[in-house]
Amino acid sequence: MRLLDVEVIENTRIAASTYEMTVDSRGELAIQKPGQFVHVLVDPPHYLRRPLSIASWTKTTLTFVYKTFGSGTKTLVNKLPGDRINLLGPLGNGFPMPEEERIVLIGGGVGVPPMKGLAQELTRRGKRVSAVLGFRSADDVFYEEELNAYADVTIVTEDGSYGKPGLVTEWVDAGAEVFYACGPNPMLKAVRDAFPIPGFISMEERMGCAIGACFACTMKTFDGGYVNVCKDGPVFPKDKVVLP
Amino acid sequence: MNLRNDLPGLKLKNPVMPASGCFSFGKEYASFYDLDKLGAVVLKAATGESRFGNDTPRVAETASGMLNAIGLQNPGVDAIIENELPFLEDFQTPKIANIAGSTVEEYEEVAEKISPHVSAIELNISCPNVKEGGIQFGTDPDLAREVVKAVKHKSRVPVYVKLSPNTSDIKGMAVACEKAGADGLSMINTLTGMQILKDKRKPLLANKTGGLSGPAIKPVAIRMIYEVYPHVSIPIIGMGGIESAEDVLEFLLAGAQAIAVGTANFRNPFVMPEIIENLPHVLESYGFSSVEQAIGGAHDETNASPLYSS
Repeated sequence: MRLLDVEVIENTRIAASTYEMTVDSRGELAIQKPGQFVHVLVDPPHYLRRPLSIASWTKTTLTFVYKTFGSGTKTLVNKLPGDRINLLGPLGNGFPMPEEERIVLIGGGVGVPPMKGLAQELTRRGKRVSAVLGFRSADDVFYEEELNAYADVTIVTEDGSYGKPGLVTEWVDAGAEVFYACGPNPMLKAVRDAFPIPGFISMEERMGCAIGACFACTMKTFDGGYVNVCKDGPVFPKDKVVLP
Repeated sequence: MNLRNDLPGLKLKNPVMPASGCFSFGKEYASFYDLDKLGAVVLKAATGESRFGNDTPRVAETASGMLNAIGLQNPGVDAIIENELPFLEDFQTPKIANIAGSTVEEYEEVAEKISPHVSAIELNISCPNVKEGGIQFGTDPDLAREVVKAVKHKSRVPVYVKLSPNTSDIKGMAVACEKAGADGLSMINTLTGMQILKDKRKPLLANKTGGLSGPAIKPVAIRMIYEVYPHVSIPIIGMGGIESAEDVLEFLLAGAQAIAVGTANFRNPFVMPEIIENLPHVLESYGFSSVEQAIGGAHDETNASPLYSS
């Protein structure tokens, strides 16, 4: 885990209110697994960092996707190549690699980016990967081509304006042996309820420190304990955490 | 540059410590730097039994600060002594245990159990985020007096009382605590606040209200310390939005003898060692040769700054 000032290489709009940023990590961020995240400083008066999942990486670069939900992440839009941003990372546990051969990835909205790095790694390991990516509308769709390079991709939009209509749960490969899901809690709940196969979920939660010290992102577990999403997660076996 | 300062129970090599609740029990930050660099370590609040705290969302960002409503989540005093304190035994820096409770008896129990393991106790009578315990003791001078007396009786180490800014008479509370036997004061805890989601038409935090912290509250902390300082003879540990050595000097001048850094740790995990490193230069540039010299400096009109005296 490092605290680093890094240079922006690219910062591009890829869908409605959705941007992809690539930074020069100078080979100093030892990312171990897909599903890890970085905690990114945005401009004042915004005080807290923003946890953003890593979409992909090379030895010297790091790429993440952010959605401009609020005025904090909007300050990232103004960053030009050559500008610097400060990030803390890599953080979190990441996705464990499966024994199973037939894998389905389920991403919803801003939960799609970590699926890219995951698909890449699973393909490298010779797994048979399909991906179902859900968005609200055609304008929100991103990473279709990027995922296509590693997986059999199905795009689903809630309003049916692009790809298949409806919800991600309606279009999942019925023969999959394990699922990996990242997205809003209602989607994670629906996925968990719909598929009896083993699965892993990656959670989104508001964070403070992102290192396990402030207890902002604490969730109850089914065994009566608790986890901090930042440090114990963000990836959990599907039946570990009580989803709100 | 002499950064040393002795407070009751605390031989501080420098005046910088974490604010309780922002540092858990030290382990996480120990992966960034040696905790012995700090003047002291302040632990997350301990209660008699384990508490899960509030539902999420527990934090919300505000302009230059944040709201939190964690709700005193902790594994309970016994588990803290058994599972958390051993890790800190490897460090020489003084440890301060923050204690909270719903009843005077719970405060007494926690103080009695944990005080043999630490250098001082910080009595939390100011948590705004729990339904019972905490803040009612911090807003009523009679209740404050009662709990301070009771804890003083049970504690083997000096007791610092953490005051709530959510009162109209901070001076009265401070004086009441001193009279009840407090060895020092910590001020300030967070200010009660709220943020409302416009699209959902409801408060963002599950607890509805939360405690405001960060640079946004620094002027309030400075004012309250400045106001209390002339009326008490016990030391004040100052906190509220500190994020630089310059801020530390401002707190010292207001009357704090030591300071705690809270929310800034979340922005920059290295902020405390950085402050400690910069503090000598900042003190020097404002004409001081020790921490002690600066304490209460804003109150002494005969001791004008050499930088601006003609």
